[in-house]
Amino acid sequence: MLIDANVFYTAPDAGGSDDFHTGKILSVNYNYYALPWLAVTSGLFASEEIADNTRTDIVGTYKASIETHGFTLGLRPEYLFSKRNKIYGRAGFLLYKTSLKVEEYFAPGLPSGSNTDSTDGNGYFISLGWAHSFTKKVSFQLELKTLRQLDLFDGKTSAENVFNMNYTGFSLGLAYAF
Amino acid sequence: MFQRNFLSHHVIFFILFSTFSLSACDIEIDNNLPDIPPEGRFAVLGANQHTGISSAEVAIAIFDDATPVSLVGGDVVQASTSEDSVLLLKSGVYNGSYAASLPNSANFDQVDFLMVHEPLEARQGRWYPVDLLNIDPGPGEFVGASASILLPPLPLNLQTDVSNFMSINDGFTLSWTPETAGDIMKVRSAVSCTNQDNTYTYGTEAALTDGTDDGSEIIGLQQFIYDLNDPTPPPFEFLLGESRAALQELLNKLIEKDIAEDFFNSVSLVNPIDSRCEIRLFLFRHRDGAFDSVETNGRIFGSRSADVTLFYNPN
Repeated sequence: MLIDANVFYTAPDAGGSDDFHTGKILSVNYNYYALPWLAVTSGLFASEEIADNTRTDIVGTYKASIETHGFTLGLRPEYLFSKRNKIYGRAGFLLYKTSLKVEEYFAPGLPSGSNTDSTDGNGYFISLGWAHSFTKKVSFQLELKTLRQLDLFDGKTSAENVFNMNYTGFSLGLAYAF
Repeated sequence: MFQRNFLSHHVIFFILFSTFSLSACDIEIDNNLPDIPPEGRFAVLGANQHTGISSAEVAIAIFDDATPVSLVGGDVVQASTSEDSVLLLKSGVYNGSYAASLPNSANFDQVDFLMVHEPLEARQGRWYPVDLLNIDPGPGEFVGASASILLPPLPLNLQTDVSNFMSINDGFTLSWTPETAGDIMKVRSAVSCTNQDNTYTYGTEAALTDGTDDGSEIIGLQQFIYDLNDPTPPPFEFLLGESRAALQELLNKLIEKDIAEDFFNSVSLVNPIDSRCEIRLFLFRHRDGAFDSVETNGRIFGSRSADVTLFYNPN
């Protein structure tokens, strides 16, 4: 069995005119080895509040931000290519709950405001990683990863406003085997 | 017809840059539209439809003490014919100006403008569900203001008796089917001059002998081609301000792609008089309008246009 904790650096992408800053998502995974080279991996993830670029249009100046957490379940095959190093992959599905916050400012004299809404749903993830063992129990891991959350706000807004949210980036982590 | 009480206190003005949707091209962006009074509220409003284009370009700008007034919070100008309508959501060349293309394939003459409050429609370019995350400050003071303009007829059968020239001392007769409504005719051009290695582009506003809608105008080529080495100022005016922005946007529409941002402001790398030049000549039939409210301070006009191409080769 293996437990790993990772910090995932990612700039979310909603597929529209969004332009998110890079933010961090913390994840903790529990890996149960069904075979010497294959583990069932499950985990929890939670992000900080990740901000979109502030911008101005004909209505006003607005800033959106997103915050997400959820659960992952998948498989983790791996290949030991030297005594201390191995490569591994991860793929599976996820359940998410994501909150979207918008703050908006108008002309002087007009009240500004903010609004928040949240949505939940499912999606999937896939990653490719490299692990280097410091000791028999402790290892470092670097992972390239994509999380895809599907159909945000489906059922709450009109179909043309429903969107997918992608989180692509890399993570750094530590794993402990026991 | 501006029809709100606020109009009795403030005069609202819609600025429309003829023919033009003043878009986001990098023309100099400032509030230097000509004849904007330094004090008070002032608006200019206009629309133009070009021959062969099934939409009219509409634009508006409002100034308060010569400072552009931004519409915020979902207040937006709606332009409409009896069949179609559009919101002016695109920022124009000048601060405080807004523009759009109004579908008008049926060539309706009347274009109505109405200030509306559409908090969702105005946010349509945003990536998140604006219906769920809507922050609405409510309608502003301009909402309800309205105005109407009439587009004059298209300049039909536009042609020249000569289209190829070898000397700037040459001239030609520009002819079109006249109308009797007393509209003003304006001739503007987009000129592109090339030698072996370089191209110089610029725009001119020709000085006409009368500008009346009589069906013909004798014009010298010196209204378009000039000698960089001649210290005497050319007889035309270079296209500036809203005219330049308007023609640039019209060219974008005609060639279905954006021309160079500095098309009308490029560096003079060749001397036009010594170069091969293509002159795209535009004739505008221009009709001034009037605001229904005498308290309204501003300009309002509509136009329709057509173009022909001339060639200059001194060799």
